[in-house]
Order: sequence, then C-alpha cells, then structure tokens
Amino acid sequence: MSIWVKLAAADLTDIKFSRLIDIQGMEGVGTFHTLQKFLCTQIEGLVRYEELATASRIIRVSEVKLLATVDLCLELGLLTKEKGFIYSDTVCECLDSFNSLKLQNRKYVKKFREKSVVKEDVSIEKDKGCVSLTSNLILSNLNINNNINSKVEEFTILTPPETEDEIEAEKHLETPGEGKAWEKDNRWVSAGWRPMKRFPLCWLKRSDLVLVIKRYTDAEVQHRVGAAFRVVQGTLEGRKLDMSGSFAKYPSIVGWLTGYVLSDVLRSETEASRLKRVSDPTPVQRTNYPSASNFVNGLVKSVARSH
Amino acid sequence: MGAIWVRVSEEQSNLHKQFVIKNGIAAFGLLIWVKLRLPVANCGLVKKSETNLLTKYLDIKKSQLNKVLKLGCEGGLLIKEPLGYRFCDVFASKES
Repeated sequence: MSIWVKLAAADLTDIKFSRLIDIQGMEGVGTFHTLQKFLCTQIEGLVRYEELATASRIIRVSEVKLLATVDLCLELGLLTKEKGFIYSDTVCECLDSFNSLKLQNRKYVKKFREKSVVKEDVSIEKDKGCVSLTSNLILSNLNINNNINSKVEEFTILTPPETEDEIEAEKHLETPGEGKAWEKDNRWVSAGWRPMKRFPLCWLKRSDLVLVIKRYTDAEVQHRVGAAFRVVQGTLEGRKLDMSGSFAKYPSIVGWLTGYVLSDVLRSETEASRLKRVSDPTPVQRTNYPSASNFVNGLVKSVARSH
Repeated sequence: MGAIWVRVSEEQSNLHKQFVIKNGIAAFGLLIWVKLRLPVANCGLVKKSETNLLTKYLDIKKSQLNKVLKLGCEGGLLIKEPLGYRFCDVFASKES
C-alpha cells in the first residue's frame, strides 16, 4: 500500500519548524514527521489525542517524547486539535494507492469554500518509473460537500498491478472505465472499493484482496478462499444494505474475511483433518496402538503384585 | 508557495524504521529537514553543486550534511546520482 502525500514546503512553515528545532532539536522534527506519516495512513488523517499512547507503540517512539512533541506542535500550529482529534496542518492532500481521494486537509477544503472559483492543475511528470498523475480540478460556485464526490473521479488515477499477487487480485475485481453502474457508487468514488466479478456484493480494494489471499495462503487454507467469499456474500444478501448514503455504512469485508470467517474455516479444516485421521488410520498407527486385552492383562498383574 | 509530493508506503516506512533504529531519530529528523527545505524545483535532488548554499540555508555544518546523506544512501532512503543524491520517496514537486 502506498499513499501520496502533498506536504507544504518548509518555506511556508519555516518559523514553526525553527521553533520546533530550537526547543526539541532534530529529534522533534523526526518525531513530528513519523507521526505525520502515521496520520496519513489513518482514516481522514485523524487520530484521537487519547489514542496517542497506542500510536506511539505503532510508530516506535516513546510515549512521553511523542506527547511532548504533539503538545509543542499544537502550540506552534503544526498540528491542530479539533473535538479531541488531531490532524496535521502541513498535509495539503493525500491520495491513497487506489487512486481515490482519501484525505483533504481542512484548510484545503476551506480554501475551496472561501473562493467561488478555484482552478488547479496537478501534474506529476512520469519520472523515474513513477506513476504519473495528471488531474484538473475546476470548481465554480459549488458547495464543496455536495460536489466533491463527482470531482474526485478527476483526481483518480489507476496504477497498474505490479506484483504477482496484485495481478492475481486484479483478475477477480471489476475493471473501472467502462461506464458501469457501480462506478457511480460512493464506495468506489470515495473509498476506491470495487465489486468482485464472482461475488458482486463483496466490495474490496485490490490491496485488501491481496491481504486476504495472503492470510489464507499463510494459514494453508488458500483452497477455501472461494468458500469464505460465498459465506460473506450470503451474509450480505441477508442484510439488504442501503448504500444510498455514505460508504461508511458498508461493513468491513476484510475484517470479516480475516477474522471470524477465517477462524471458522480453520476450525472446520481442523475438524475435517481429525475426522480423516480417525476414519482412515495408517497401518503404522494401527500396529502401534496397544491392544485392549494386553492393557487389561497388565493392569490385573500390577494390581495382583501390589496385593 | 511550494509543496512536495511524498510517497508513504510500507516499504518506505520499513526503511525509515530501520534508519531510526540504526542512526537515531535525530539523524532521521535531519534527513527530513533536508528533504523539506530543498528547493521545490529540485524534485528531491540534493545537488552537489548546491551543498554550500544548502548548509547555510539549513544552518548545519557541511560535514553533518554529507554524513547524513551518506547514511541515508546506505539506508536506501537516497539514491546516488551523478549530480548528487535523490530522495526515493519524493515523486515530484510543483509550485502551487
């Protein structure tokens, strides 16, 4: 999984960074940047202030140091705290690997709200084998909340599958760009999820599908992936989901597939292997197994000896 | 106003973690500081010809800069090029 993050260059935040370096030295910059990367991987780039202790363990920075840096950055204005959540002010935009707009900095959104007409060209040249991104965003007298989704598509780019796993996963997912009905769905537009070809109710990202296949392969039950998807499809059919609103209503398919469905599969697999062993013992097992008569005779002898 | 596009990937994160474990968070911070304060037009390239200017701009010693660039190169965060060192995770930059 990779994410492209647009960071404000230092000339915009020079005084803030200089203060940070004066107080905490380069350690402060390193800690801030590590936290910033962590924020970019979180949903909407937010993390709860209370959950910073957990974050410190994930990013391997000591809790005390992280809290000190966060407090200083909040004071300096490199980070902002709103309703208990923290986000980075130097992150302008964030595009996730599936080419969908994942995060927009609040200031960035405000900028759109303030200006009635915004024209921006984002161009990343094809350089050093990197994926090119070219998009144009033109918003005119729009309410950003209502129209952002329709414009997100212009931001999207499709990265070709690189690894073998990604190529394999891509085969099972619907391909965008053919004007199909699902392409207007919020799950694709906002989150980059696509329906599977065989299981149309299962919406996943390519990276998610790679993860699921990897988990099943690691657990040596890769031959049961299809069965697991059938279970999920059946569950979703029973639920009758209304996806007219936010894509957040859609349940975490990956969570199911790598959680309870996988544990069910593993349990049934273990039981099946046990049954196989009991019903079809090998000749070696049969010869090694002690006979009941020998066992009883030995027991009688030992009791007689004790008396 | 300027901005740089940086890639955050699992591979890069692992490299960063290893770099921090090996060289400490201060060295990592310095490397980030160099990345952030590079001219936007350089697209993540630290030019040899601009080393003196950069040290003044970053307010660090030349030996410090050279050392951290070498460490970054050893850690896989930078690639050595004829013109200088290039940051692997800076894809492009643009005046906005």
